[in-house]
Amino acid sequence: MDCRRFRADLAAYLAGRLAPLDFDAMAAHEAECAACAERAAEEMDGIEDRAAARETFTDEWMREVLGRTAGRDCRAVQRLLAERLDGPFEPPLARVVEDHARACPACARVAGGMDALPALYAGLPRLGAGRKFTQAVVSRTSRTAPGFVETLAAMLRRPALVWEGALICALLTTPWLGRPMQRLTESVQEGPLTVQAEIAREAWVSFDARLTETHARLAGLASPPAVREPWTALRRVVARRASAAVGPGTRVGGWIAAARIWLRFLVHTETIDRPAESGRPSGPTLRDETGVTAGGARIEDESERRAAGLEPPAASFAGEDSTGDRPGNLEGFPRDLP
Amino acid sequence: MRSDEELVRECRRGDARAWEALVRRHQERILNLAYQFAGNREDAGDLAQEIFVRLYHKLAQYDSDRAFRTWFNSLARNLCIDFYRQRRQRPARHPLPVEEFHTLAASTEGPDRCVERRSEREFLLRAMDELATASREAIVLKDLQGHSVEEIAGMLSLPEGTVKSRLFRARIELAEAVVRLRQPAAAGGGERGL
Repeated sequence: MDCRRFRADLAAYLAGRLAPLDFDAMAAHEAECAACAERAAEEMDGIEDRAAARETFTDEWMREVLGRTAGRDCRAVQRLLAERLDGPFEPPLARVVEDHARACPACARVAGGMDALPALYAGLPRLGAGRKFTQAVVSRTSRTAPGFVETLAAMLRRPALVWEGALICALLTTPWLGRPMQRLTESVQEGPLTVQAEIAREAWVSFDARLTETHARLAGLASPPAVREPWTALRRVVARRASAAVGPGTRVGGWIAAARIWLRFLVHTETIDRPAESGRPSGPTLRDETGVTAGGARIEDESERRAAGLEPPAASFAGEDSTGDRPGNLEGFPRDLP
Repeated sequence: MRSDEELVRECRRGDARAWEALVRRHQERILNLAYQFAGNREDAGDLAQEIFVRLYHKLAQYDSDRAFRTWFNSLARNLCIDFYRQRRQRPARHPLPVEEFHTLAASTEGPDRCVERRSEREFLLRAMDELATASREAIVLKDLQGHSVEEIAGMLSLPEGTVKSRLFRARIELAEAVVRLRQPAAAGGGERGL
């Protein structure tokens, strides 16, 4: 007997229509196979539920049920005994179960144990959970103040810290190693086209554009100069470079790379910095929207600018002209970056 | 009174008071559920705390479309089952906790009745220890915790028919186990029996 055969014959088995040998084979399989036993039990439940839906337990129905459970009386009765804990049966069914239990020692034993269960259940203590329990749970789940290591780890997980750290590094190392940015951007024109020089150039281009904007705004007195903007532009350049160097997703690596780039950027000023050659303007190329330099010369296009030795534009961060004077319309603009 | 779902929402926002209120609301039920699986007060206390700690860490995963109580019951039940399985692998113990001695001593019932109650409790816990995990679960959830068959079916993700079958089989096994355990006691004690 296999499970498939069992399931095919299940209806006939429950209805008591099988030949004795087949019935025994089915019963043996049911005893061995838990899945099939569960299936048979569910089917039985279905039969009983359908009968219960009639709400009356007629003698005819009783005969039908007992006929279907022929040979399996004990199991059916024991299930009914278990079901009885949820509520009493209708008198006819109760009578059948009691009659069977009286006559059958195995079912009498189950009935005895079953009758004892409600009292045993009631004897189980009902535990009370007081304030101590609540406090214990809350203290186990409350967040404790993070220690130094946790704080550091949390800070390192902040993406913005990569760039903030790089900026702090730059600020700390500038007085020690570096030169003013103005000198750097001038000297880079003559230096090798290294990554550092490229960074400086990009930074300068970005800075120059913003400076021009500021200049224009000042000319129209539209708004005060945004003195932090050049730093933002420069920081973005470093950020982009650092990201390209270490790839996305490595924050600590990005932090280190950004710091390294800043450091090398500043050290580079020592190595390639040189005095401005004679004939090359070292001072102002600051121009307003009209293309007029602070010294009054008008530069029409890129070729003219190159001819004038102003490529890339080498205006000082402080907006000084060749004489070192500050243009009047850049009053208040910082003389040097930190 | 705020619903469980509201409290959970506030817990997720980091409201410690809401969390405490949630614990206070469910602690007794969970402690008793843990007791019915663990069989003694000490283990039940530890298990109930574990359940709440697990709940705290899983609150973020709670789907607000589901009823919190059902979801929490499933979580608690899983931990209880794990505990029960682990405990079945080591020798069962039912020490009478010191607190219970105190309770018995303070009780207004006579000493004979106290001893009898304790004995009955011992019988029941030992008999329940003999049950398979699924059977014990059915007994605890239906007979001791008082959940309906429908609720249990939802909790266990099983058809109601299967839950009923398990429950009836579990009751039969438990009844047989109770009788089996009582028989030696009855033989020894003369009058004790069914």
